[in-house]
Amino acid sequence: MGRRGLAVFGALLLAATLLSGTPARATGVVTGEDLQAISNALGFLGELSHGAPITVAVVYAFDAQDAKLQAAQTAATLNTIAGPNHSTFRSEILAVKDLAQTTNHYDVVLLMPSTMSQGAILGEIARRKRLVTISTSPVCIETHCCVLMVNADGRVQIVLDTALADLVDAHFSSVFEMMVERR
Amino acid sequence: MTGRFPDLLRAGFLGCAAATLLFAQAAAQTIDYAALEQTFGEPVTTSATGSPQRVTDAPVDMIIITSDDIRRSGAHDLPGILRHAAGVDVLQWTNDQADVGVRGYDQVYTPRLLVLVDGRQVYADYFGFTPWSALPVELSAIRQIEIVKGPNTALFGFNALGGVINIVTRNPLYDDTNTASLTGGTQSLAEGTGVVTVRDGDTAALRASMGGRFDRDFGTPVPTDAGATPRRVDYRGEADLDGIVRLSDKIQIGLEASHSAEGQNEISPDLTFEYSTIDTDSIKAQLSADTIAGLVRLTAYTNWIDQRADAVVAGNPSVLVFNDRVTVVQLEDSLAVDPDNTVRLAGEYRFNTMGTTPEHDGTIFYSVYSGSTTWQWAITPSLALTNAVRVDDLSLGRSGLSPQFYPFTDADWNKNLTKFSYNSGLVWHADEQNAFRLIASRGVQLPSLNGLGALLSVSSTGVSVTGTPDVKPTTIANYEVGWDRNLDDLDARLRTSVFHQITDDAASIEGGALFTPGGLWATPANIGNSRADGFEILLNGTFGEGWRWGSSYRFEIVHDEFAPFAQNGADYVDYDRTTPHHLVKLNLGWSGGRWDLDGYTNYQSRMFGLIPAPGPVGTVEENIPGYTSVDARAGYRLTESITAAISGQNILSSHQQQTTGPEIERRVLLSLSIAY
Repeated sequence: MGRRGLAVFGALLLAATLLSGTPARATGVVTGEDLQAISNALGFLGELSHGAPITVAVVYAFDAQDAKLQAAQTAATLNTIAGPNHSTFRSEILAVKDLAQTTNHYDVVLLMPSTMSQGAILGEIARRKRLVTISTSPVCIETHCCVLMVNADGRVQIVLDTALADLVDAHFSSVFEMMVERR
Repeated sequence: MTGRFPDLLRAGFLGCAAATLLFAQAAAQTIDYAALEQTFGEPVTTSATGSPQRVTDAPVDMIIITSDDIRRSGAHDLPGILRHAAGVDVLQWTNDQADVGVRGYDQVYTPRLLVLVDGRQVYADYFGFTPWSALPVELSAIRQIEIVKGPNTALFGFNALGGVINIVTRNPLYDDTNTASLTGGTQSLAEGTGVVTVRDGDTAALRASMGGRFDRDFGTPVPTDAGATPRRVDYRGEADLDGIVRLSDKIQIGLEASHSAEGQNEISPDLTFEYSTIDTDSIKAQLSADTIAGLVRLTAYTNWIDQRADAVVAGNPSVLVFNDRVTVVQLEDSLAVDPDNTVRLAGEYRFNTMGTTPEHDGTIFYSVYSGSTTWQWAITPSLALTNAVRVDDLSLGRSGLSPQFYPFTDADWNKNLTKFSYNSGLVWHADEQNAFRLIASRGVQLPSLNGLGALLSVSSTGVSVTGTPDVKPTTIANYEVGWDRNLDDLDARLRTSVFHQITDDAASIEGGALFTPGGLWATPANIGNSRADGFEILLNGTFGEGWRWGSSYRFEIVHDEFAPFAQNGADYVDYDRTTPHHLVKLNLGWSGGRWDLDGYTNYQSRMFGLIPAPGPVGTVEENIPGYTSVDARAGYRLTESITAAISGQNILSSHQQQTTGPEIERRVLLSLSIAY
């Protein structure tokens, strides 16, 4: 390969780099990829029983438009996804105010993006009821209302709130903790 | 080999039992590569820092060859797979012998690359090389091949100088691997492999793999300078048992035993043509526990390797028998100390011993105590700094008889050597698309056991040959800057790096001379320094329905500063002119329906190789023109579990000069494989 070949190679490379832009990110939606990543991440949660159905509360903001519909769609999709360690998901939807009052046990609470405006309340509920809360919204880490933030839009991002995890007695494997972003 | 396994089994079980008691407070599960890869959407590695990491977070320049890459390569051996990897040099000397280098500096029996299988060293210390055909691993049992470019001695210890290749096999506890294959091809190749996994629920699993191969060497002429040893049949056989028991959700014990045997026509370290046989055995025990003190691993293994070669040493016909035994015990703990810091502490003991050859009355040995620590600091969510330091303290020794007029006494080997190494890496994920790496590292390569005195050939008329306790380790300093970019619109990824390497105290196998009343003794010697500057560009991606592509380019300039007697390739080493300036690799593949089609092109610019000099010692250079080679594979799934494939290497040329050994012939393989 002579200089000419190298120049062509370099030019192609530069063109490819410059032509590539940043894609638009979807917001407010929990995708199937997000749910699959959440399912995978739960495989490293020590408290889940092997093989037993995982009960999930999908929590939505009562006052947000289409929030209940989106939560219902998310719950329906989650119920079709294989859980970790040969388990399945059994999910139902709850409004934020109902989460505070329910006496049902949930292994995991999935906070829809629509609930992020009530992060402080959700954090208080999670601590009081020792709930393993998960959200796809990065806001949940700032408001300390989710134990895990899992987002699969682009490069999979997983953030663990170590303080909240301790408060709700959620224990993940050391390997998992070493690989995620810890706050 | 009688008595090898019982002692090690006993030691392994005792070690594991003790460790089980020690870690009774354990609290979560150990590394499941498949689950982690699925979770994070990219391969996971422990080869960068010792702790599990996503590849894109690793503070090293690393590439990973996946099991899909292996299958699509069409290769039936490891060098055949590695020759498609970006920035990797492969010198194919004969049909079954190849040397693999990273960022140039590749040579026959190259000592600069540390190779491991699941963390167990398969690098042979007596020459400092990797006998690829003798590795006890089948391709279908491999999960991924991790290639770390640049030194990583701070993690792996001595000899991780130019790079590290860690071959990670599938964990029988998590992965069902049941395969069988039959392959036939040119050069009278006949090969069969089989891998079976059996499990008892999720508490215990055993994987058995075995394979056997016969073929003949290339029919192209052996260069006259390389001698006239007649060719014989090449063969390879291996068997490996890998068992894991889960004592609890938090603790696993693994036991592995392997045996391999190979015989091949090859080019020897002094560049003569010979036939060599190698037998290896290994046994390994490992305890992994997820404890309140972090992820703890205790590993102990012993490797035995016996090589026999009919060779000519400094003009003297000799039967060389190398019998090396190395025992390694490692204890490590990786702990997420707080949200921003992860620390790994490790200690290691290593004992290596080998009898002298062809004069077999002496033994060379050394023990090494090592301590290391790795500290990963997440300065911000997007900026991480990793620092690793390691100290190795080596005690060298020799026992046994010495020949008359030998220039040393056993007391000359009573030496201690303390060496430190480090790896530092700063990784900045500037945004979703861009990441930058800044790397500095220092590695150390020990002289081989032969270089330290295990090779001992006495001549009554010519030049005698011996290793020496006075040869110094080779060190390397590496500095590099890297930039990764995701090209989402093109569904492609760009990885670039610019590197500068300084090698001090490079060694040659016969550069020294000692005079005694018995005559001249040729010894290894440190011949000088070398530095390399270069850059690498790797771009790969996918498009359309089922298409995949990749391209890479490496440019490298090496400058040697050797002693006058070793210049211009006169003393078995010339990194400057045996490293090609340009290395280009391209691949294009498509999968659709039942078909997998893949093509690979390698271009390597002109370089020089070494051939034996007319006298008893020394070498001269020979020009090797630039060449382009093309490999291809077409696979067709006959059923869900049965695949037929035809593949070829160097398919556009019936024969081609790639080294100073015999020319490489076209190779075509037909295979039938079953996965169930």
